[in-house]
Amino acid sequence: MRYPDKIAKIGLFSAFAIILGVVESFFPLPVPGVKLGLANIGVLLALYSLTFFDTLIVVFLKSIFVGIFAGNVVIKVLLSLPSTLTAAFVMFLYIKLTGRFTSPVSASALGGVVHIVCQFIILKIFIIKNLAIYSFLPYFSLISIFTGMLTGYLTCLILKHTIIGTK
Amino acid sequence: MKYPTKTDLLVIVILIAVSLYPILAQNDSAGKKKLFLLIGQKQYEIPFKDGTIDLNNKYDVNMILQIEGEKARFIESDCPNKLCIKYGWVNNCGEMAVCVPNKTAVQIKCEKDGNIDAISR
Repeated sequence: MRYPDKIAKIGLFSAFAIILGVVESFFPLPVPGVKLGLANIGVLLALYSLTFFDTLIVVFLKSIFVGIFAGNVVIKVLLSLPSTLTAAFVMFLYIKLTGRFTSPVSASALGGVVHIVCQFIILKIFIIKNLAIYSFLPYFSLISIFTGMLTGYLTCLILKHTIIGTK
Repeated sequence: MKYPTKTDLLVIVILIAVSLYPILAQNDSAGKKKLFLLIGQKQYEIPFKDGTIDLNNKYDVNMILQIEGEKARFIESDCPNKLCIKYGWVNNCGEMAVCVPNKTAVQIKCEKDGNIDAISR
């Protein structure tokens, strides 16, 4: 079965990502700066069932609206937009190249790592500058692998059990 | 669609290995310890000498640093959360206590022989 409309899908995935992103920002996790990244389910779904260009639209809408709703617009957007774009691009290439052998679980884990690395680079350039924050990076990237696997697994379930995942 | 596949697990193991590598490599590098004070864009080396240093006199931040043996900690600071004080002693290679409001940090770096990457930051 086919889900009827491309535009409807973009809207659906964006809404999905925005709502999850906003809701998730209300639940602080024990370690500062860590969140589950559930919003990436929307981006992953878009990657798997839309073209790359349509995914970019989802990424833009998600980053900007989550920034607006979750407070501190400038820092949020500055941190999340470039890193989500890079992560989406890497995941797109990964899915294109190895999609036949892999599932969203590893794509999402890879995306999580790319995302956190980008955020550290941006932090280093614009916000904290000369402090040696890179020494925290390995711990954050380990955490992001596991949260990425979780979101990837959820994406698998959605793709498998609903019709929105079909091309 | 099948999930997670064997390739998935392989990729995840590689990712975990890549992220673990810096942590493990850090612990091996037992060289000569050096104490650095990072303030804003600048970096000062401080000799290990037991006692306390009032950073207000020399560097213009309201903090007091205590040094004992080959470790150091902040014992006084005017920042709101006092995270740098709660961090406690800094004594391992690469470890640091950071005070973001004052843009100040104290870090121990280890120097391997003939390796100058500790200074080039």
